[in-house]
This record gives sequence, structure tokens and C-alpha cells, in this order.
Amino acid sequence: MAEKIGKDNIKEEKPGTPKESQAGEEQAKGPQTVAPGGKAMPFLFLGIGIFFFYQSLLLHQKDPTLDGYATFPLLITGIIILLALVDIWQNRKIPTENQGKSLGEKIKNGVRYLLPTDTLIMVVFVFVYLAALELGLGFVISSTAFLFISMCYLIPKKMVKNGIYTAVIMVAIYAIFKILFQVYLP
Amino acid sequence: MGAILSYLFTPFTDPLMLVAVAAGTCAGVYVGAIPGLTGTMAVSLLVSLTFGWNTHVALAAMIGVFCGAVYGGSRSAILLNIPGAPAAVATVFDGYPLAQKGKAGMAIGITTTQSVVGGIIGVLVLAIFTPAVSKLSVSFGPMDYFLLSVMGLLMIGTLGNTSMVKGLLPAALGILIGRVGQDSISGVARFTFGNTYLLAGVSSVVAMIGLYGVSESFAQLKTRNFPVVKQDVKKVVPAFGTVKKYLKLTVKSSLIGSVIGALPGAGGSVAALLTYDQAKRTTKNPEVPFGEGAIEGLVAPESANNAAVGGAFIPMLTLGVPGDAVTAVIMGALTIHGLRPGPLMMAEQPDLFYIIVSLLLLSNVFLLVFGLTGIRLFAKFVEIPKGRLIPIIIILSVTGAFAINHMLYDIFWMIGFGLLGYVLKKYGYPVSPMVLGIILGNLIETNFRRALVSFRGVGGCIRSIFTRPITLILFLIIVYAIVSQTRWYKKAIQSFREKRAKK
Repeated sequence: MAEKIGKDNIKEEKPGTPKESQAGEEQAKGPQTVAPGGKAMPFLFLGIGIFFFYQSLLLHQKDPTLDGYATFPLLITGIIILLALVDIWQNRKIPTENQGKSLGEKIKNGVRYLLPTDTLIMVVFVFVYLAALELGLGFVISSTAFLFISMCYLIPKKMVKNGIYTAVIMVAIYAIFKILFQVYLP
Repeated sequence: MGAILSYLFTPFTDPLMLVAVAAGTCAGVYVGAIPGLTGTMAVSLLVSLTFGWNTHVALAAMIGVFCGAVYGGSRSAILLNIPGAPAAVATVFDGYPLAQKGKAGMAIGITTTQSVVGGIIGVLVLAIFTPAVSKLSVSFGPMDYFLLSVMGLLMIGTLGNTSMVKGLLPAALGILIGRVGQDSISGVARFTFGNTYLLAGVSSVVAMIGLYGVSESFAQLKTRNFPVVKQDVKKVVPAFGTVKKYLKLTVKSSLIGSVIGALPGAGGSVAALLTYDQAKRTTKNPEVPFGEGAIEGLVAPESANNAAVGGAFIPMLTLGVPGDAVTAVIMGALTIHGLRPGPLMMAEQPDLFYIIVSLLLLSNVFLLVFGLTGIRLFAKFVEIPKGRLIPIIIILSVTGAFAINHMLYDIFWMIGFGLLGYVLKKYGYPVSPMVLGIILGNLIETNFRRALVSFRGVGGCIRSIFTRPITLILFLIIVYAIVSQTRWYKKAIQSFREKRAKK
């Protein structure tokens, strides 16, 4: 779905299945529950803010002038830290789906929420595709393999149609980018 | 007067110029519609291709591509949830939900007509109000640019139903990400950790493709078995009554867009976001809520970003300062052809100004034609089953990310942003503020530092808020944007409305 700002745009797959996405959806609106792992997000922002605030301090030591190159990063990382603390404060009373569970279970639920099987497999496919590009297999071979294998995983039993789609898309991309606009392909 | 009219009619009577502007507009629409290909890239290519051409014909092609590309970005925004250009970043908010409801045809039809109307208004502002708008843009100081960019970020961070903090955190993170690389003023490397690739910083287009395209692809995996939504493309051209219904909003957004476009560096993206926010705050009882397919959510940004095109020519032609990246390239092209845009242009080369006005007008006419064609073909793309569409979008995103700088690292960054965007969406953090933070971060920082130098410190900057009218107005808008999101304010407004209803 579009950027329904603040709303998780994932609908439940079929009636009766756990509404995993609902917590994320609810969280943005001023929610009743926080999704598994949701309370860790502001801490992640806080960690990023603190790390880069320290890096900005190191820069500031080299150039302590107000209009120097370190002032603005200090300011913006300070703002991130402040906003993250406010987010932690706002979230403190909201119950989470992981209420009362052990740390191990919380982590497991969080990972399962973020990376259900299909998403995990597609992420793995993407990383293998990137590795193939990096290793020099070439855009045409890597992309063709990625397209075909992904389509066959997501829509099994229609391999011929998947193959036709793969061929058409690859030809179209090659024609538009390489021939028409003379853009280099990876 | 006779001379002015003859300059204005020159493009209409020169078949080569007519063909060049038509071909440029058509090419621009499709370039803009493909994520990763930008109008700036296309115009840059044209500079070398048209080197030996007649100057006016070369200019016609470039202007056509410029106008077409700004509009074209809305196509992929509506159909794929990936803005084809930064100026289309606000179009995804309501354009994509419309496509998901099977109304992609209607959405594209409306964006086309509104873009044309906005573009024509931008040209009229250019033709009639150039001296006044030029004066206004000159009076904008660094503090004003800083506040304008902060205002844009605040507005996007407070859009939608999310809490203000959840909207501002990604924005601040986006600004921080934009600081990676060489500082634009001192040249010092920041946050590169010794990696030479990071010296160039993070491309906002790469971030945009990842945060919108790839993250959405991962998010859509859950619903891939849902039946495909058939797109209704029977009625694409909006009824005259529909265009008339939104005319007031179109004119208002276009005027704002023209002025914002005239501010060097501000551009179509700022214009689109500000007018989207303005439309959201001022539209009472929209038929569909904003963010779920509100027509007003398409009308405002699309008319504004095309009006900004005309506005971008104002500082270029009158001050010799480009309004945005594309006009910077066009300025370079004009210089190569022996022309000098700037303060003396109206006296030394008056024909150039009026020919540009005419070419912009012609380009908008062709935009209406080309914008309303090919919609069925584009809409069919969205009807591809998600199990096939998702890998296709990922491949297009990879190609688009690589096309910018021809570096594999950009693809890795793009995928990284895609995963980050996916995680943010899962936990209710919007990604648009992050994209805007990356786009506007440099403008904010540069003007922040210039303001500190101009006004000799923080105290001077604060004093300038109360001594300069433009600065005061911008500051008050920012204060209102923050206060209006607080619980206290919302309660106060609600009780005021209840008291008024009782009376």
C-alpha cells in the first residue's frame, strides 16, 4: 500500500490467522499494543544517536567553531537522542504482545514478526543476487536467475509462464536502459 | 509589443522547434516514469547530443524533457509506489492507494490534467510576474531557506496519523544520513570511517528507490496471494466538472509552487510537500481521507510541482542563478551556445525570455496529449500477479540505483535502505520523512551555517526572526506546525468546536 504514514500496510493473509501486522498498524495510531520487537526500535534510534553524537564530538574537537562542519551533526544527533527518549517514554505504558515472556521468546517472536518465512527467503535470494553481481557474474545472468527463481518460489507450478515473464522483462530492461538510454548495466 | 509577439510566436511557426519540444516532452514522460532515470540525467545527455543544433531547437528539446520528466515521476508513484522523481514524493500518499482500489487510470488522468494546469499557471507567473517573484526570491536569506526547509520536514513528519515523534525520528535520521561524506563547505570527510566510497555521500535517489520500492516489495509479500485488483481504465480523461471542482485548489497550489520553484535549490519536491500539507489542513471533509486516495492529495502536489518548473526559470533568467538542478544544466547548455542568462538578458537577449515562455507553454500542451496516452499499458503492469511483480520491482530498483552513478555500492545501499524501510514500516514509522531528510539535509545545514555567519551567532539568528517579516512568518508557521500536534491544542480546538456547535 502507499505510504499510509504510520500505518503498517500489511493486511492479514487470511481470516483466522494471527493479525501480526495489526500491532504495527496500531502502534502508529496511538496504539493499544506494540508489535513484537517494537519497543526495541526507539532504543535502536537512541543507540544510533549516541554513537553518532560521539563521532560528532570527535569532529568538533578538530573544528570547535560554531559555523564549523561539526556543529550541525552535533545538533541533529542531539535531536535524535531527545526524540528517541521521548519515544521510549511514550511507549512505556503501552502493553506489548510479548508481555510476560522470557527474553529468548521475545527475540524469537520479534524475528518471526519481522521475517516470516517468505520474507526471509526473498531476503536470502536478494543477498545471493547481490553476491552474484559482486562476483562478476554480470547483470543479465544474475538478474535472469533471480527473476526466474523468485517467481517460481512465489508462484510455483507455473514455470513456463514465469519463464516467459522473465524473458520479456529482461529484454525490455536491456532495450530501454542499455540501447535506448545508453545507461550502463551492472 | 510587436517584437514581443513575434518572439512568442517563433516556436509555433518553426516546425523543428515544434517537433523538438513534442519529442522532448514525450521522452521526458517516460524517463520520469522509470525510477532511477531522472530529468536531470536526460537533459544532461541532451546537452551533448544537441551541441551542434540550432540553439532554440536544442532549448526546445531540453524544456520538453524537463516538463515531461517532472510529470512522469507521478506514473511510477501511482502504479509502483516509487516516486520516479523527487517532485513526485507526495504523489505516492494518495496515488498508490487509488491504484490499489483499481483507480490507477483515474489517478493518472487527474495528475495529467492538474500537472498541465499547474504548468500553465507556472508559465503565466514566469511571463507576468518575473520581476516581482525575482524580487521576493532575492529577499530570501539563509535563515529563511533554513526555516523553509525545516518547515517542509516538520510538515511531512506530522502528516498522517502517526505521532509527531514517530514522524520526526526518521526525518532526523535522514538528515544525519545525508551528512555522510564530504562536507559541501569545508570539504572535510564526515562519518566515512576511512571508506573512500562514502566520500561521495548517499544519493537521495538511491535512498528513495530503496525506501519506497524495495521496502514495499518486501511488505507486499504477505498479500501476494490476494486477487489482483483490476484497474479501471475505461474513463481516464477526467470530466470537465471534476477539473472545475478542484480548480481553486489547483490554482492555489500552482501559485505556491511557482514561488517555491523560484527559490534556488527549493524545487518541485518542497513545493509538492508543502502544498500537500496545505491541502490536507484546509480541505474540510474530503470524500476520502488523505492518505487513502483523496483526490485533493493528487491535485495539490501535482499542480505545484509542474508550476515550480516555470518558477525555476525565474532566478535563472533574471539573476543567472539556477532554480534547480535541471535549470543548472540548461544554463550550462545556453552558455555553450553563447547565451548568457542573467540580469542583462532582458536588455541584450529579450527574444530568449519570450521563446522560453512559449516553449514551456507548448510543452504543457503536448504533456496533455502524451500524458493521457499509454495509460492502459502502464495500468496493465500493475495487474501482473504480485508473485511476479515483486521480483520485477526489485530488478527495476537495482537497475535504477545503478544507473545513477554506475556503482555497485549504490545497489547495496539501495537494498539496505529497502530493508530499513521495511523495518520502519513494520513498526509504524513513516519513510517519507527520511527521504525528505536526505533530500533537504544539505539545504538545511548549508543555510544554517550561512545564517550563523551572516547574523554572527545564534543570538543574531534569533533576533533576525523578529526583525525580518519573511523570517517571522516562516517561524510562526513552524511553531504552529508543532503546537497543532500537541494534545493540549487538539483538546482546545475540540472544545471550541463543541461550544460553537452548541450555539
